[in-house]
Amino acid sequence: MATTLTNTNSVSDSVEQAFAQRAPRSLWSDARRRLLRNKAAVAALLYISFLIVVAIIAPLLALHNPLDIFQNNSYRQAAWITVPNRPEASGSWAFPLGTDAIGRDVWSRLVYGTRTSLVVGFVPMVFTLFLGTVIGLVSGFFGGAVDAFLMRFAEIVYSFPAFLFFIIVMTALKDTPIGKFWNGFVILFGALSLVGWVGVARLVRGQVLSLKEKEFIEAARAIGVRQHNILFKHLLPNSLGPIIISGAFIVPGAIIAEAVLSYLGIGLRPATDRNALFPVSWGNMILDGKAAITAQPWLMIAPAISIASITLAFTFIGDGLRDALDPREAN
Amino acid sequence: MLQFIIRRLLWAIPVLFFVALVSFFLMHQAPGGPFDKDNNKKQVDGATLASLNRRFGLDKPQYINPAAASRLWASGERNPLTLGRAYLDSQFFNYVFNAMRGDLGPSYRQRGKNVQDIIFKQWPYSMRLGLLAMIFAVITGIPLGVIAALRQNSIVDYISLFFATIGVSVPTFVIGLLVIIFFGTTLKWISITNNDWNTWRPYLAPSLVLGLSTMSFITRITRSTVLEVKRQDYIRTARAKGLSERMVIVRHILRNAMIPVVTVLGPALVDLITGAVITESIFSIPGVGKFFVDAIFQRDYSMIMGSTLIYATLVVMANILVDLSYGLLDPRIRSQG
Amino acid sequence: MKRMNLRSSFIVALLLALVLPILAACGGTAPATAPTAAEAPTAAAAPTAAEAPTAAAAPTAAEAPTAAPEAGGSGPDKDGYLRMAESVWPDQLDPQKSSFSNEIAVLILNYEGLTRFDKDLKTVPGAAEKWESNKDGTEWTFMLRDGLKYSDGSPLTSKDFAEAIYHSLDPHNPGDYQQTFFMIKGAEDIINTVVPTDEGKLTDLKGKLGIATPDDKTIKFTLTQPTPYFPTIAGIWVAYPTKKASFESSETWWEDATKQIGNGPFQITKIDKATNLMEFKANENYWGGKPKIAGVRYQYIEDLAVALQAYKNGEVDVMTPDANDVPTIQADAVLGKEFKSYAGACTLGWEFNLLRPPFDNAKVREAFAYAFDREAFIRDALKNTNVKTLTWIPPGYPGYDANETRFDLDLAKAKQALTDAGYPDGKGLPEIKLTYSSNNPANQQRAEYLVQMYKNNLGIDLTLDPVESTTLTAMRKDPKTFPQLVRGGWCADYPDQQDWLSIFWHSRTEFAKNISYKDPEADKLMDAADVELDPVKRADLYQQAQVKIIGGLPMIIYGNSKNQFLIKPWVKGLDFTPQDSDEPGLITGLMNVTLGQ
Repeated sequence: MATTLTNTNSVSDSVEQAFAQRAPRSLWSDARRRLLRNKAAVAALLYISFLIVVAIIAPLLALHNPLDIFQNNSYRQAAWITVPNRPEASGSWAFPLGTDAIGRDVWSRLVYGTRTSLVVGFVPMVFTLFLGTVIGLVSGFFGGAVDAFLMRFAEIVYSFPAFLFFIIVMTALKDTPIGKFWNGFVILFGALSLVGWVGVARLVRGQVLSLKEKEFIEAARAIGVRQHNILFKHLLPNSLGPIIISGAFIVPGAIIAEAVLSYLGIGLRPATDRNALFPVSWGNMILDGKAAITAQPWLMIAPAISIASITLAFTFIGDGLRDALDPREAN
Repeated sequence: MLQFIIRRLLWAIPVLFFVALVSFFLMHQAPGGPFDKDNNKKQVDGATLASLNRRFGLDKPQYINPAAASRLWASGERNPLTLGRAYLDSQFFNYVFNAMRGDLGPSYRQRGKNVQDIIFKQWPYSMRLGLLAMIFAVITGIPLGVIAALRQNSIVDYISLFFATIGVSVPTFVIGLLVIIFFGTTLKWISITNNDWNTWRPYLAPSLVLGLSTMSFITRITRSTVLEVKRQDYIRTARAKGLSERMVIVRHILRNAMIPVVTVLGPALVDLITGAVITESIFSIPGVGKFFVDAIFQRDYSMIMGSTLIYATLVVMANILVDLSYGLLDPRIRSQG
Repeated sequence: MKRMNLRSSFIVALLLALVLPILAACGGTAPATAPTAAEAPTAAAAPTAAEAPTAAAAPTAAEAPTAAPEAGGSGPDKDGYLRMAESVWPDQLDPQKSSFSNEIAVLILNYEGLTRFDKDLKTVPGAAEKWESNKDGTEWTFMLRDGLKYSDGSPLTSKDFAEAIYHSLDPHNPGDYQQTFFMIKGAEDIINTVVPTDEGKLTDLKGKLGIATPDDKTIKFTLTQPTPYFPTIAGIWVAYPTKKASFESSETWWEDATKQIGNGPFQITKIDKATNLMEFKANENYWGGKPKIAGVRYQYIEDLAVALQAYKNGEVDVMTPDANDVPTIQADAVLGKEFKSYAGACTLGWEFNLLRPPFDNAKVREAFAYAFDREAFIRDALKNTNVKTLTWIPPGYPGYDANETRFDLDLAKAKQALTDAGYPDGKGLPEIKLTYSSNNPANQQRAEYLVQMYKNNLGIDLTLDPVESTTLTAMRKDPKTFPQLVRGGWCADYPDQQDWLSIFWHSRTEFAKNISYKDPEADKLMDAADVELDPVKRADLYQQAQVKIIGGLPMIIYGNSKNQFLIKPWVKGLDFTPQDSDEPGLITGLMNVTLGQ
C-alpha cells in the first residue's frame, strides 16, 4: 500500500512540475499522448483495428461463402477432432472450425460475422452512451422538476415490456423504407439504444448529484463559470468512469441482443444474397450454437471467444481513456 | 426525508398509470390474441372465440365506452357517477379499477386462476433465487472491485477482469449447462431432478450462475469509482492527517465510491428477483420468469399487465431507495430528487 | 517498463485462461469425440448383456467413480414407478378446457372416455362396453360397463359423461375445443347464449341438448348430421367424464390432486410444482384391472440438454432428446441402443397462399413442388426428425395412401413447369417471401436451406421473412395477409380421415378459406364421406378426395413428424403409436409396461 501512496504523490508532483515547465497543451492532445502510452489500451486498439481489417478483407480470409450450404456436411467437428465411426462428422481442414446445422463453414461465418458484430457492438454503444449521458447530466444538474420529470419518464421506459414494443415496431415498419433502410440497421440501433439509455442516465445523474455539491464545482460557480462550461468541462469529465464501464458492458450485450432481435425479425434482415455485406453475425452463431452445444461445440465456442475478446478490448480502451482523460494522472 | 418519500410515492401514481396505459396500448396493437393456438393446431372456432371474449370482457371497447353511457342517458339515467362509470366501462379502465382493488384479472392461459394468485404462488421461488444471486454478487463483487482498484494491475485486478469478461460475454445458458454437466453429471454434487425448491440448498448453483453477470458489473463499477476517489484531494488529506489505511478505505473511499454502485444495485435487484427466465429454465425452477416472458408471446393480456405493473412498482421503489441512499452516503445530496 | 511487460504477458495469460475453461468444457460436452471411444470397448464386449440391468449399470458406474447420491442410479426406480421426463409444466388440467399436448399427456392416464384407442389406433371399447347407431348415423347410443367406478370408489354413471360435455359447452366458462361437439343437437345454441343477459334461457336449452341418459348405464346422443366417426370423438380428452363435484368446487380445482378423480388406469396423487413432479399411482378401480407398474412419475425438466444429463445420470427412464443431439446419440455405444424413433402424428409441408401471385398460378406451384428435394431437406435441415412423405394422411392412420408418388423431386419437370407458367428460368417472377415463425432459431436455418435449394435447383431468389409466432398466427387468419409461402401442417387430434380431410381441406373450413383453397369436387367427395356409414365406401370416398387435394397442390407436402425417445433398457411393454407426441405408449394407458427384473 505504501508504494501506491508514494506513487500517487510522485505522480501529482510531476504534474505540477510539468505544468510549471512547459507551455500548456490542449486537454485532448494531452489525453491522446497519455492514451498512446498505455500499452494495454494500445494493444486493444490494435486488436480492434485488426478486426476492422478482417471485416474489410473477409472475402480473402474466408474459405467459403458464409451462406454456402454443403450438403451432407451438417455439424462437422472442428478440423482437429476425429469422431470414431463417423467420418462424415469428423473434422476436415476444408472446414477449420467445422460446420453448422445445415452445413455452412463456421470459420467463414466467423470471419464475415466480424463485420456485423463490430458495427452492432460499437454504434448502439455510442448512441446509448450519448442519450444516457445527456439525459443524466441534465437531470442531475438542473434537479427539481426537470429531474423529477426525466427520471419518472425513465422509469416508465424501463418498466414497459420492450419485447412487445419491438414486435409492434417490426410489424408496422418492416416493409416501409425506414425498415428496409440500411438492411434494417437503423431500426436495430433505435431498438437497442432505446432500451439501454436508462441505466446510463441514472448512473450519470447519480455522479452529477454527488459532484455538483463538491467544493470545486462550488468554486467554479462562485467565480462565475457559465453553466454549460460547468456541465461539460467539470461534471462530464468527472462522471466518465461509470460511463466508460457501461460502454464496455453494452458491447457484448448489444451483440447478443442483435441476434435475438434479428431472429424475431427486428433489425437485420436475414441475408439470402451471396454478395450481401452483412450475411451473418456472431450473435446468430451463438444462438445457433446453443442448440448444438453437444453436437458441435465450436459453433458456440468460436463466437463466444470472439465476443469475449472484443469486450476485453473495449474494456482496456475504456480504462485507458478514463485514465487519459483524468487530468490528475499525467504519467 | 418523510416529505421526500411521500412526494415520490405520489409520483408513483402517474408513473404506474402511464406504464399501464403504454403496456395496454402495445399489447393490443401486437397482432394476435390470447386464444390463438400454435400454427399447426386447430384454432378456436368463431362461436367459441366470441363466447370466450364475452367471458373475459374482451368484447368491450378498449379505452372508452360512449355507447354504454349514451344508452344509459337515453334510458333516463342522470347520475353523473353512474354515467361516468358506464363511459369508462372499457377493457382498460375496468382493468385499472380492478387493479386498484388488488384484482389483477384472470389469466387466459391458466384458465380459472387469477394473475395475482399465480404471481404470489410462484414468485417466492424467483425471489429466493434473485436474492441469493444478489447477495453473491454484492459480497464478492464489491470487495473484488475495491481490492482490484487499490492494487491496480495486481493479480487480483486481472482475476477480477477475467471474471468480469466471462460473466458478461459468455451467455447464461452456456454457463448454466456447464455447471449442470460438471457438478451434476461428473461430480454428482447437485441433483438435476431431485430438488425441492421450497428448501434453500438447491438454489446454490443457480444463484451463482445468475449472479455472475451482475457481479462482474459491480466489480468493474466499484473498481472504477474507487480508482477515481482514490485520486481525490480529500483522500490525500485524510491520509496526510494520519488516519489508518483501513479508516481511509472504509470511511472515505468506499463511502464516496458507493454512489454509482448503489445506482446499479437498485434496478439490478429488481431484475434479479422478478424472474430470470434462462436460469429458471435450465435449472427447472418454478419461478415467474417464464410466465412473464411467455405471457408476451402468448398475448396473455392480464398476465402482461400484471407482471409489468409489479415490475414498475418495484422499479419505482428501488429508485426511491437508491435516491434515499444518496443522502446517506453523501449528506449534501439530501435535498435532491 | 518492467511492470508493463508483466501486464502484457498477463493479457496473453488472461486470453488463454479465457479459452481454457471453454476448451475443457468442450471436452466434457462433446461425447462425439473422446468419450465415445472410451465407451466403445464396453459395448463391444457385451452386446448381448446390454439387456441385463447389471450390464447397463456398468457404463454409468464407469463414468462416475465417486459415489453417486441416491437420486442417481443405474436401475429402475425402487418403488416401481416409471419415471418420464416431461418438458413444460401444463398451464391447466381441466379435460374440457385443455388443448395442448402436455396437458393431454397428464389427462390421458387419469381419465378414460366412452371409447379408447388400441395400439393400432382403432377405436375400441373404453368405459362403454358397446355402442350402436340408428341407420343414418344421427343417433348414437353407448352402453357402459357394469360396476364402473371412479378412482375414489364412487360410481361412474352415464350422467357423469353428459355433465362433462355440458361443462365444455357452458357459456360461463367455454372450453377451447368445444367445437368438437357442435354436431350434437342444441350444442350451438348453448354456446351462443350470452351470459348473464340470457341466463334464464340456459336451463331450457340444456334440456333440449341432444344428450339423454335414460338410465345410469346408457347415454344417447342425438346429432344434427350423420357422424360415422362419433365413437372416435367420444374417446378423446374433451369427452372424459370429469366429476361434477370436482369442477364445480372451484375454478382451480384441477391443480388439486385430490380433486382429480378419474376413471383411467392411473390416478394422480401429486401435483407439486415445487419439486417439478406429477405423480400417478395405479388405479385399483380401473375396469381393466390394475396396471403392472406401481405408478408413473412425470419429472418436468424444461431444457432438453439438461434432461439428457438427467437421463444419463439415471434420474429418469424416458426422455425426448433434442434433434441436434440425435446423431451423437445414435453413434454412442450405450445411448444408441436406447434410442427409439418412429413415425408421428403430424404431416408437414410448405403452404402456398393461392390468392397471391405467383402462387395463384398452378404451374408455379408445380415447379416449386418438383424442385423441392425432400430427402436433402429432411437430412440436412431437419436432422432426420421427419420421414419423407408425398401424401397427406400419415402412415399408421386410417386413410394413409402408400401409393402416392406425384410431385417427387424432378428438376426437368420443375423447369418445364416454370417455363409453362410464363417464367422461364424464373425470369419475371415477383418477389417471393418465405415467411417463418421466428421463435425458434432452427426455423431460420431451415428457411435459409430452402432459399439455397431453390436458388440451386430453379435459379429463383426467395426473400426471408421472420415473424414472431403469434403474429404469424394472426397473419394466417386472413387470406389477404396469409404469407405467400410458409411452413405448416396438421397433427392428428383423433385417428379418422375426417380429422385430416374435412376439417382441414373442405372449402368451408378456416384453413382452406385462409389460403383460398376450393376444390368443389373434393368438397363433394368429403361431404359424401362424412355421412357415409359403410366403412369401405367411406374410406374410398376419402381416398379419392385426398388424391384430388394433393393434385391441386395447395401445399408441398414433405414429411411426417417422428417421435424420438431415449428409453432405458429395463422399460418393457410400451405400445408405440404415432400419437405419442409427448411420451411413448400413453394411448394404451401403459397397461402392459413392466420395469425389468
